[in-house]
Amino acid sequence: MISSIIILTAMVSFFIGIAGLFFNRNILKKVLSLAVVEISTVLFYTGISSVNGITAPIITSVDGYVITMANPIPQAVIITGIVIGFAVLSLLLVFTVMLHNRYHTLDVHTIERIFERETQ
Amino acid sequence: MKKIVFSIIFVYFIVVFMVHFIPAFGTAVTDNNVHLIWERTNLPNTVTAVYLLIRVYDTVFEVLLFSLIVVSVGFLLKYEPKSEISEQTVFLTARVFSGVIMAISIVIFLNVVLRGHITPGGGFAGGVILASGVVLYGICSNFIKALAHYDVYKIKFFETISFVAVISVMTMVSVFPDVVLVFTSPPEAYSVLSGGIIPLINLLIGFKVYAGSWKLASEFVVRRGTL
Repeated sequence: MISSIIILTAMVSFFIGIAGLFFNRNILKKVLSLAVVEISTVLFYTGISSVNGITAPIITSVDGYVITMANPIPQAVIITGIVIGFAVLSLLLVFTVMLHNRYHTLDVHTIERIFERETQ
Repeated sequence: MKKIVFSIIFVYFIVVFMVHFIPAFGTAVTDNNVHLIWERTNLPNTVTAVYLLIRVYDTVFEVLLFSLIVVSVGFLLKYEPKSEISEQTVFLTARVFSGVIMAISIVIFLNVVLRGHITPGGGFAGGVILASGVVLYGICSNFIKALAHYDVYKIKFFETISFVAVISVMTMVSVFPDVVLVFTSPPEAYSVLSGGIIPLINLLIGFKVYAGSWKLASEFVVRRGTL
């Protein structure tokens, strides 16, 4: 039950992030939308891992294994995804800073217009 | 018009996904491999067991990628103009409490990192906790002092040492599977030492993540522009 709700929430926020990527003209807002997409991917994996149950996969006593424990493998794998998302966001923010220092705006259309005028 | 088309595609995907992929409510679908991991590694926190022992080759490249990003961000931002950093005027309350929160974050860092194999936690979470504590101190109290601690305590030197140590230990674990990082007869069950060398690896990863995150954050704050 909770797993399905989490998966649906992750899908909805994923498409909200994609819509933000498409329809925003500000580069900083585009980067933030990409952050929403990455976080919803993490949420999706969390939902997949809690299909069996939402008990944390930590064995508190020697015979403490229960069948309703969450699956630890997606949780461990998504740590890589979190770090890669962090890295991509940092690099994108660096490029945003460089673009703003050069063109003094973050609007995509204005930057394209200035760039076309420069190259002609 | 574009937004309407996008919304229709979105609703279509949601319906297809709901019908075909989401399992029925309340059914146990797959076996979680908790007992297999527990028998194989003897670590109570199975997530730590997966990402530090079973799938350690993932974590090697994760640490490598993180270090690479820190270096590349520093390199790319090297020639960008810096903003002027001056003493902030903040309330005395914020100044005092940011120091208190800094101290609390150090304690939580040590707890999360050293007991990461028994309770929820681990190196990455601990490093981010410590870095956010330092960033909070810098923003709320004194950014010049927070910038200076990177040089005063020689963080870069210790970061390099922990990076080399983590990479070498993890490569050893992934290349030679017979290497045992966990004591075969642990001193006392559920104590810190029962994890063998795992708390040490977590501590090194935590320090590495803290140093890298603080470096990234300070690079961005130093070049914050007109804010």
